[in-house]
Amino acid sequence: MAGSDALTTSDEYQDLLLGSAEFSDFLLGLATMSATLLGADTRTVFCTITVERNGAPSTMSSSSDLGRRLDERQYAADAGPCLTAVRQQSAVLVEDMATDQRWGKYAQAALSEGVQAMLAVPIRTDDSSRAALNCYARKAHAFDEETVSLLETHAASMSRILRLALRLHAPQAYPEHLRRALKSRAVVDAAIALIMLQHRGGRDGALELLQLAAVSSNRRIQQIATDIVDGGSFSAARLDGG
Amino acid sequence: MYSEGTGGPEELNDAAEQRRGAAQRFRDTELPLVKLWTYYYGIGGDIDEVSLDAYLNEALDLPAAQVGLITTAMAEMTEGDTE
Repeated sequence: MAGSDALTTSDEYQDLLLGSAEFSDFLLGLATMSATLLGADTRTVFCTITVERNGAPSTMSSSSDLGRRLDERQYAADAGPCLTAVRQQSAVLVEDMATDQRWGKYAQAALSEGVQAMLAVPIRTDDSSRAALNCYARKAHAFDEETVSLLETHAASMSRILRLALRLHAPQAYPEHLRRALKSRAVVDAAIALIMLQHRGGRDGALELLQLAAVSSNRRIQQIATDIVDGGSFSAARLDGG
Repeated sequence: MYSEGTGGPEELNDAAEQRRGAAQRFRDTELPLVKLWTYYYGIGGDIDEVSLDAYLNEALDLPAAQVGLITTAMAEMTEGDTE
């Protein structure tokens, strides 16, 4: 199989990350880039990327529907080359699905979809997640030594941007209303700290001033607090006769 | 609004009245306690949920600053969306 001319540059990865609204979009981009890298007709070779995160559902992104089906089969069986690569963090090469004895029913499923060879290489992330790039080919022995090496280098090159993406698209630890309360509390606390500093006063007094300001301007506490934090000073000095 | 009556000379009576008013308003709004507590926490509240529950059942007195926040939380939550 022909290797492509050049590995993906970090700029291209960054553009992909910035341009992806969802984590799954980003993974799809990576999968597509990987398929392109293999320089082959996408009808004969395709790629998927699997990410398992602690405490979050795993994500699969495929450059084709067939790839998605094949990944899902592995999840249904809870076994297969991709899952082995993900969970053991080592490359798995299936040169010929018809003769490889390791995959049981999954081999049958792959063969019935016309997949003859597979290569799964881990993508290093951090301790809280595991990932792998999976390549499927319609021809046995499609992945020669050179291709394996190319894909391993490629997987290594994706490691950094994938880590970034995992941080950027972290699974939400708190539901929306709790996050709103946390955010609001952070602003209110910052405003209280400022008021206390300016008035050399206590927390209760600062809370009282915030409430007075909210009532007199008919606005919410959080809005007043945001203004104070943004403006860096408490402009309602008139409230306490100052 | 809660501001009525604050700072008056009969502070003890005011506090009891305010507490009764808050309890009544809480029953009227039919807000879940946990939602009220979360909002109250968001605007700087420092009292735990159990104490808030006790206050709203007129079984506990709270510092004036916290009372103000509870009243404000209920007012802000009922005056439309809680954005």
